[in-house]
Amino acid sequence: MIETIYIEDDVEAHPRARRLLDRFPAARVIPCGRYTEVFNPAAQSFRLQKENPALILARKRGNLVLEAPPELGIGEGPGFYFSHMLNCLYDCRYCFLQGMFRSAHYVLFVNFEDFEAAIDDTLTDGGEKPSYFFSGYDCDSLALESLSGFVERFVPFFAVRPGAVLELRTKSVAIRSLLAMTPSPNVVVAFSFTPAEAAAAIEHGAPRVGQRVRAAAELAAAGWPVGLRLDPLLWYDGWRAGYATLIDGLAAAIPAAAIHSASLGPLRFPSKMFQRIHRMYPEDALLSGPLARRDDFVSYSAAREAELVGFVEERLRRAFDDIAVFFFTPRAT
Amino acid sequence: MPPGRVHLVVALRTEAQPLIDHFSMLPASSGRGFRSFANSDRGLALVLSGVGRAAAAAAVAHLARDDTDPAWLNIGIAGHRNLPIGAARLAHKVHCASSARSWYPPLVFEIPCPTATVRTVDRATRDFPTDDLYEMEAAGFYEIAARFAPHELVHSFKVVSDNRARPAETLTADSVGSLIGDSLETINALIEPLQRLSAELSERRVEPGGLERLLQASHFTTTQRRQLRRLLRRWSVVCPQVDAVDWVAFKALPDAGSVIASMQEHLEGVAPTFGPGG
Ligand code: SF4
Repeated sequence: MIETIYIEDDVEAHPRARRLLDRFPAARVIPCGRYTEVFNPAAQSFRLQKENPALILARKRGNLVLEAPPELGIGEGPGFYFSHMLNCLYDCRYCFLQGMFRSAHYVLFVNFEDFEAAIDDTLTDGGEKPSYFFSGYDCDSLALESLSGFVERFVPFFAVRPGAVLELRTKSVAIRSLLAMTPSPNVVVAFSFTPAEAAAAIEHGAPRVGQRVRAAAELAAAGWPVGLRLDPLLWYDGWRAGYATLIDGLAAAIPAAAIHSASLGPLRFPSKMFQRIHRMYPEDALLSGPLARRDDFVSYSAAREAELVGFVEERLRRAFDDIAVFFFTPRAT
Repeated sequence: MPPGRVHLVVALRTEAQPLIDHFSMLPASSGRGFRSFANSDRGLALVLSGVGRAAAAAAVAHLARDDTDPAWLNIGIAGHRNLPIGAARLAHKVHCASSARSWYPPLVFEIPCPTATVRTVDRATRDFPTDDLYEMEAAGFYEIAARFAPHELVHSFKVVSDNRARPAETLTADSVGSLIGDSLETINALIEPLQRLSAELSERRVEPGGLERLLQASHFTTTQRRQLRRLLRRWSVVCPQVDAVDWVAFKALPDAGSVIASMQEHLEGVAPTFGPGG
């Protein structure tokens, strides 16, 4: 439930903003010059704001599409990301957003048309290999679909651009709008998973793992390419059994032919970000666990990381014939 | 959980009196410059700032010597072009007319009254050109209080005292007191969640159990103290069933360095446990 909406003066007349204001007639509406006035001030408490985040309606100006870090790749072509939203409905304790942003308010950039133009510009510059576009970098791609209408607008946009692949990264089971569309071979719906017991303890507010598996299976049955994102990989009491159960469950529900790719990422935080997050949640078991500083990151030991990646990769390859497995440093979702 | 604290910043004695009476506050020995009142058992302190931005800012700084993660609430009267006298508003935006800066207090708890933009001006106005509340302290208060507390804990509450139909000249000390007195229920409903937020913050800063005893047992350098504090915090989460001080005593660790190394090694080996998943 959105109780407070901040709106940049500049987007007050934008049709997407108007629709949202109409949708929440009881919300207090607070005008602001630039969203950064609300979102960026220092000394805000992300944790306290998470109790009741507001919605900020803004215009994204400049840097609409950015080059993705190479480790995010799920194919051979160049990678890009764009963020129509900042922040997420869920509250995963390993999420880097809580260490990166000062505010937990949801920022929705309503000028989708400018993102589309920027994506087209990027494609014009592209080579022969498809370009990959990631939308779930600073938010969950689907979780706030009922607010944003992102999927409804961008999936048809990408469907007619075969030179581009869109990855929707999510933990949400809000798949109704996708099921209502004709599946696009170049739109990958990538679900993030950790074993059920870890997810229940750490991924606050996110749908249960069983629900996510069912949503992925439904989309696969409808003809959508599905991605499996097992990151971050978590080390906890019983992790082997947890990952084995998770992967067996995925294999039982989703045919290998429907899997676009899997990717694995170790749990790693930039050191300063880890300090910020741990200070915010000193009582959290994951953050208080056996993590140590390695170079500029806080992570499990190299041996533990290798053990996790090795075990999970082996189980995935055993469960899904010819699965494409990628490895990267995790960010959001 | 330690009790939360709220610091009230009020310009004039006439505005403050109903609060002082209602919360049974007593004069506090607060040194020079500002008169202040407190009820420590209730976790409340109040400072009389005087009129204007600079005075409000200085009063916050005066009270901020207390380092217990207090929340801050500015309470006072304001003018508005057409809101009825006695209408109570919490600021959702504080705007400083002379610097053109704005602040947006995040509204993370249930708000017991409508909200509005509070515009701080340097001179009292009679024509109220915008649909905002006009007053003279909130911006000075907010700018400085937000240096001592997260924005979620800094708020400004105003009661309409004058409008175009009833200009400020008609106000008396009694009528100002009544306006604040009539809003005490709303003020209480604001103080409660602010105290909870303040308590939550203090709770996160409480020294971990066993710290003092371990510090007394060996000589720790400043860096080692910091490490020990962090390790004890982790210990209380990861091994809550084992008393860290007993564990260190049982191991007969000879010095601070070996206490830290052994605790680190022990924690490194403990995998977090998660309950059954869904
Ligand atoms: S990790 Fe993903 S799903 Fe979880 S809070 Fe962050 S963005 Fe949302």
